Amino acid sequence: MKKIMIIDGSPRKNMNTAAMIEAFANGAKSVSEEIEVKTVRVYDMNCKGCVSCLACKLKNSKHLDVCAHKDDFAEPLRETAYADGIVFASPMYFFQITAQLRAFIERLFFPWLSYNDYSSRPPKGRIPTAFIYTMNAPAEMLHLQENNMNENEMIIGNALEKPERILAVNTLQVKDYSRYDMGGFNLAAKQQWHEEHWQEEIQKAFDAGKRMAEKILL
Amino acid sequence: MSKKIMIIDGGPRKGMNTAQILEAFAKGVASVSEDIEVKTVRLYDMQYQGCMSCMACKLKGKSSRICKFKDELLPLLEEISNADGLVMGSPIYMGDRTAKMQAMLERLVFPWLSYADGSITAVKKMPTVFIYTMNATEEQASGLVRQQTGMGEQLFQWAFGDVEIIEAYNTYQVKNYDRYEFAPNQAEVKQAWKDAHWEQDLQKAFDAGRRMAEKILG
Repeated sequence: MKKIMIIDGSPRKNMNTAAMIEAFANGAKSVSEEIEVKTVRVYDMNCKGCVSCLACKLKNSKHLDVCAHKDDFAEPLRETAYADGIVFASPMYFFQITAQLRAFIERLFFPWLSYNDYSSRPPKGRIPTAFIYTMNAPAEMLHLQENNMNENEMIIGNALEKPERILAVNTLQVKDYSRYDMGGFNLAAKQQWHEEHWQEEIQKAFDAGKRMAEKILL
Repeated sequence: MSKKIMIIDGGPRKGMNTAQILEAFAKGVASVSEDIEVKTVRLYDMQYQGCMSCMACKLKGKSSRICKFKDELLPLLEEISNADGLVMGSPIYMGDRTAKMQAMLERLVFPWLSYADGSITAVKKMPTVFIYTMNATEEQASGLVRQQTGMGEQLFQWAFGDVEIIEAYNTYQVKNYDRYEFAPNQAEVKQAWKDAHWEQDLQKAFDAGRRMAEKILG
């Protein structure tokens, strides 16, 4: 069996990010029964980012593969470090991925980084990765997100295979807009975008899942 | 009426670089007047998550400029909103402020954003300073760090019209380099840099504290 870990950095369980993740997982599983897909919701865990204990930088450290700090992240971090493919998924909050996902990323990547020569040594080498971003921002505003997405992908790409970028823009943020002070949005246009594009975005996630599974099985 | 400056410490370690530089800032404030209350809060000692996308701050007729999610962070968000000055200190992890600090930022700023007209309006305007400490050199920081932290700072710029940024580079990361697998000459290189620059970094923070106090008493 090969395993893909999906790290869900979104607070909400059934909204856009969750739907994109589900499509990715279905795509991966459609390729072969040899592919196991496991999703971990970081918002369901009470955890901190890196606590700078520096245990992973000690001489003869036993924690070069997985963060030494023991809390709810410990087991998912181990599972992710030893997976065959990793998917990160997050809504964009003020042009950045959620802090909760960022906390997981701090703890996943820092142990792999050598302070001796600044190389990164993940335990299973440069495995394939993907990054799913969902955002309220429309396509015309993507350039504002570009910097942080690039930096994100560079950090991941320094250790693992550079992530494939999967985007869902102009998402519907709530189920019933009439309950909210959201008059700044042109709801009709948003609704229309959703009708015309949402299935395409879901399909893109499905296809990316298929591609990752095929790459892993090669 | 007594004035209050909130110092938010987003670093995990007590007594290390971020804590020291924030203490220097506090001393700068105290050097101007003892009538300004300075309160330092360590985020790593608190249990909370970033924005939950509950959208309660955007509800029609009940929108709020202060987060409504009830947890340990909420009283702090209320306290910050009504302070006279705000200082946010964080080490830089993989080019960005800590996830712990970012989670607080999400919760503080999202309620300021109106989805009715796109404006960003804080409860109260106040002078704001970001203080970052980092292992990276100034040259390394100019790309990744500036880009990743920049968006968060921009939000405060829009809300307050005035944000100061202080950066301390090439910090001394551990107390005893002998115990760690760092590059062979790290201890000497770091010590030399520390001897030449750390006092100046502390002085910059002290002076910024003085300036903020003077501005508040203006």
